[in-house]
Amino acid sequence: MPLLEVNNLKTHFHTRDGIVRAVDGVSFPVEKGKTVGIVGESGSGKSVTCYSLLGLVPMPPGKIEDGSAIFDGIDLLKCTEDDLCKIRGKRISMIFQDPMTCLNPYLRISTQITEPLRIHMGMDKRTAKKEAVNALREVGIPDPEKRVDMYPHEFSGGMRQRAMIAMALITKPEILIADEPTTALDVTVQKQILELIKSRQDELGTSVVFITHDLAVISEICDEVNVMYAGKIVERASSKELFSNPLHAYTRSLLQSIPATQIKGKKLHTISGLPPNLAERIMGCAFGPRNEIGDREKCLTNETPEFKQINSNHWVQDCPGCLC
Amino acid sequence: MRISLPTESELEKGSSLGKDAWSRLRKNKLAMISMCFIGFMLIICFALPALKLVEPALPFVDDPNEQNLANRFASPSADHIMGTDQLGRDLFSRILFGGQISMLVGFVATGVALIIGITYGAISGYAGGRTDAIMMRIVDTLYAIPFLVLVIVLKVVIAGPMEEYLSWLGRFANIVPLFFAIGALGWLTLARITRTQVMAIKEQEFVEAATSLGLSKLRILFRHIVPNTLGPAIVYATLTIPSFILFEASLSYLGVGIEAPNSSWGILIKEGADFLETQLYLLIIPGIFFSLTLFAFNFLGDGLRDALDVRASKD
Repeated sequence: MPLLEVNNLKTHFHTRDGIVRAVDGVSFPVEKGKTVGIVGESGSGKSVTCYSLLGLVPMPPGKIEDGSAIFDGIDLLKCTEDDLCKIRGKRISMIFQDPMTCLNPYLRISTQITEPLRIHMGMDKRTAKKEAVNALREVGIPDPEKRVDMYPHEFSGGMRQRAMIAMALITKPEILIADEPTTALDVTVQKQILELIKSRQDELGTSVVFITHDLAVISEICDEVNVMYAGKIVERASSKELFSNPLHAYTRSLLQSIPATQIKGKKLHTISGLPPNLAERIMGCAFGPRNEIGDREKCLTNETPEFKQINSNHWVQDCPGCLC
Repeated sequence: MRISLPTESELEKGSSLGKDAWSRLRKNKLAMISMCFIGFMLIICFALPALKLVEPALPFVDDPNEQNLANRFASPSADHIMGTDQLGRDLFSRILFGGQISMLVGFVATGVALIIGITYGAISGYAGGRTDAIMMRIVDTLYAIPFLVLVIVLKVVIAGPMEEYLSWLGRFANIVPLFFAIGALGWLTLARITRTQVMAIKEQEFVEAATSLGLSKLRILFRHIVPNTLGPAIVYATLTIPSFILFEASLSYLGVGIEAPNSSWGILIKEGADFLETQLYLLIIPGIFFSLTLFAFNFLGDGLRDALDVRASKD
């Protein structure tokens, strides 16, 4: 049985322009100690999926319409705020995209890092601070005894992201949700942060849910990949399988768009058009109108394509136009 | 151009936003002079009378309520360095004791207003939606009623019951209700300022991050959001102190503030005004103390506003 099983999650936003179906029936399992990637364009619902799991979606306007997320026998979507507070930061932690804005500018790093220890473990100040120094050392911050008493604005971007990771992992959570943790960092630091997450994961046996739009990152770190489009998962496969045998037209288009794989001097491949407006109900295959690789004519127009299993570690949305 | 690098010990401690603000404030001469002046006034108003209790031989300071009708309107002399008033009381002593009360009104009432205003505004801004709307309409309603009338009514209502509890405070017993009446109604603007700040800050990512760490809403609000809103609130509070001192003066002038024989700067000015034509110094001397202190608070408030402005770059 997987550690976390998300089933038919639907998170909708009730806005003035109508109901935005940001996440519309997403299911995926997270196995213990494994890394699950969620990849997709901006606005495909990757972040909202994870925010929903931790109850971070602002309500209203957000509303979880349907689904379940079973974590160790507890349905995260239905448990009370109090119960959720006991899970957040203790058993499931999260790191965010922009390390520059995720730390409170008025509090010392030590205060912020020790907070989960103090509220979840009831640790006293001094022990917690010792732990914080260790945590900072483990994420590779030099001179942690001094750094721990500094304020966020005295840290560089990479150091702040390290501090965030230290903070998220300090309670040894079972799941770490990483919401584009490398997007705001420059490439050299990106690599260090990825390696750091990987090594900490190996030491602690944490499962990682890794959200990104960067396929290179996915290939490096993930065991299993979910490709999201317009609030739905269109393809799921093990990382190896996905890169060697992509089936869905959207996945293939994404892979073709990686600049490194293209011939020098030629125009870069892009997916034309924009993702569909999620405020309108999408009939049929959401990717149909932008499908250039497969056969647009054959895309389903009236019924939602079924998510079907191809082999032991490969699922795909069964739309004839996208699979050919 | 020389660039001064932070010393080793500075690096060790890390510089908080508060320390940055302090270093900016220190460069503002007017604000620093004002701060020293306020400190000086506090010392002479509170320390001199206290010293007198320990050391009765202390010169210049007398019992402010001791009358000596034979020595009315005396000119300044070694005994009475600022002369005496219409009842022969030592003017300097009355200014000191009056200063105590005026300062106390400023600080205590502002403190009360800060606590109520920040809590109210923070809850309103954080809760949002209907709760926010209702809480803010209450503020609007209170705004619409003249402040003076409200304070007078509230003071009359709470004075009786409070004085019983506060009898141990001696001569301050009938003053404390006034502090609370002013503070209990002076928080409206502070609540609005805090609410706006909270609404802006609660959307920031570090609040989301704090939520994801499993912090309760109350802890997030008062530990992560409110400290970020304190800058503007403190600036406003510094500017509130003189306005409350002034307000006490006008209440006393109307006869609903401090009761005789206690004095406050407002009362001294009022009494001085009665002898405007013959004994001008009775009005002028307390007036100088009063206005210099108000100026000082205003300059300090302005200085703090500039110093706490985060947009001002670290130069």
